[in-house]
Amino acid sequence: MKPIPSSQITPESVYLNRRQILRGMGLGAGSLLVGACAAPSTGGSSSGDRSPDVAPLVEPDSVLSVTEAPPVASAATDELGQPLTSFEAVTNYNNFYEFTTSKEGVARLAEDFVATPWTVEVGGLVNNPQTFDVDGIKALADVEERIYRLRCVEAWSMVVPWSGIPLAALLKTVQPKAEAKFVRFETLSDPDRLPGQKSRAFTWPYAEGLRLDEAMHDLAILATGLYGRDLPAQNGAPIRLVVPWKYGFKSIKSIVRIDLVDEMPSTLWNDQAPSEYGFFANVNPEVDHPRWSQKSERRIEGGLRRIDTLPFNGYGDQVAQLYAGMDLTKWF
Amino acid sequence: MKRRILVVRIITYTAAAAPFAWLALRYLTNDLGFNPIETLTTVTGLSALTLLVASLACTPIATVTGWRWPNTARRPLGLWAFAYALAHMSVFIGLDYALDLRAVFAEGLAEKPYIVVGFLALLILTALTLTSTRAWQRRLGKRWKLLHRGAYMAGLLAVVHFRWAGAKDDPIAPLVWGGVVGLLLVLRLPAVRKRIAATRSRWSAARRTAATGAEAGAGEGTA
Repeated sequence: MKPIPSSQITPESVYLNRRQILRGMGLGAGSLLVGACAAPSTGGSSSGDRSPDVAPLVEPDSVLSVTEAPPVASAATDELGQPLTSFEAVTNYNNFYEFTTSKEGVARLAEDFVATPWTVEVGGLVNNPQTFDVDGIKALADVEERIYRLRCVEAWSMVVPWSGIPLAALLKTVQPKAEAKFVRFETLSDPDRLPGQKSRAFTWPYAEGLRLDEAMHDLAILATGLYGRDLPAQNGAPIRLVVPWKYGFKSIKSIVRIDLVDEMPSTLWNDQAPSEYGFFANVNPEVDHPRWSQKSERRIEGGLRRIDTLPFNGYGDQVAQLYAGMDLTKWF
Repeated sequence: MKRRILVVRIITYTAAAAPFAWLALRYLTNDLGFNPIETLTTVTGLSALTLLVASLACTPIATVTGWRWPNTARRPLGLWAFAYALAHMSVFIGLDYALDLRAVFAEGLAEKPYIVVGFLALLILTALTLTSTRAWQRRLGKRWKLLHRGAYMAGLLAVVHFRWAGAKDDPIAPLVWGGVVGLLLVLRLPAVRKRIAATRSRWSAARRTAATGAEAGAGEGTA
């Protein structure tokens, strides 16, 4: 059987788009000379191979606007040496049922999604309930880049350079009461802007939850960007949860509400099929799933070979102690 | 009549070959998506299911309408369904699991009943494909009909496989497919079939009377 080279898995439109971006950036021969007088890149963090004085806009028909900086990341791999998944793949292969169940159809449907203005109401069992806009959340801590593996329950995975703040920073600001045990998150409910919510197959809006100690863990972040850009709509604009040691469906997108509660909240996938999707949903090769292999996974752009799935998605050293004494085959 | 059969054949083969051609085109234009194996698995699986159900629908359509031509599409549709099912399993074992049969068995048979169910459906389709020739039809006599009713079993297994294997995104689609197969099965029950045939012949008798009344003496057909 002829293997499919990784170069073949990027759709042509993306190649064309990429070329257009390169052209837009003026990366043709001698462009760096031309770029010397141009405005600095708005990319945020600096990357080794990109000159800071590349002209961001030189052609009137460019697909770039000044706010759409070229995708940048501070490193080419995660801490295990696994290469980042390309910006094209990260932003064109998405599970976001609020738009469509077709993973490669989300980006197009999300094109016109407007994520401003946006507010996140934080309340429930807290001493200091507050409503934040996205800038308000970003101001709670230094926005930092986190390169995380994302392991979907469907047995595919990516490596994504997110940017965001620790969820703990937000929780500390609102001061959970003593009786608060869990955090409940809710996605925007608006079938006009999120047409997938017209489907009756699911109980919208999407809801997810974490135990309070999980939510306070430093690895759990509220992401507001990826690849140095604002979060694209298809990835959960303008703000989403990222919990890298759990299956991707826990990392709820486009959050409008966060509540501290005293009981384990009901969550969309757990409601849908409790035998398949547990509340904890820690990545665990020892707990089978009736549909997909949880022992191995396919890395997007990683070629044909499956790779072994790691307990807690490779973050066991940091998070395993959260579950000390728990039977993780029961609490899957 | 012969011409109609030819047209039915051409349409059947073109429609049945289209998903293969589409996949080949997407492969050649580097457009199998970010998860090519998932694309291949989904397209071959859905094509197999669609063609199998289309094949199952031929006899009931003929029963209800009285047309003969659907019966000529039944065999090619069934054979194409087998071809896609075989491709589907080949992608699963050959590409998805890179021929790691131990992993397929350890993980597959032990934990994932969808693999067993899908494999059973493919086994049935294999038996039906091998015995689909006229020679085998003659050799098996009455038993051939009995054996080929297994196509309905394959259809039901395929629907269960679809529900268990994929379709996390769409719990409704497998129900619809199951409903269609169930309906086709009901239409084949002897009692139902007889009643439909009786109703139809009453209607066509009425129509014929009307027609002969209108164009008295006209020939019955051009065949």
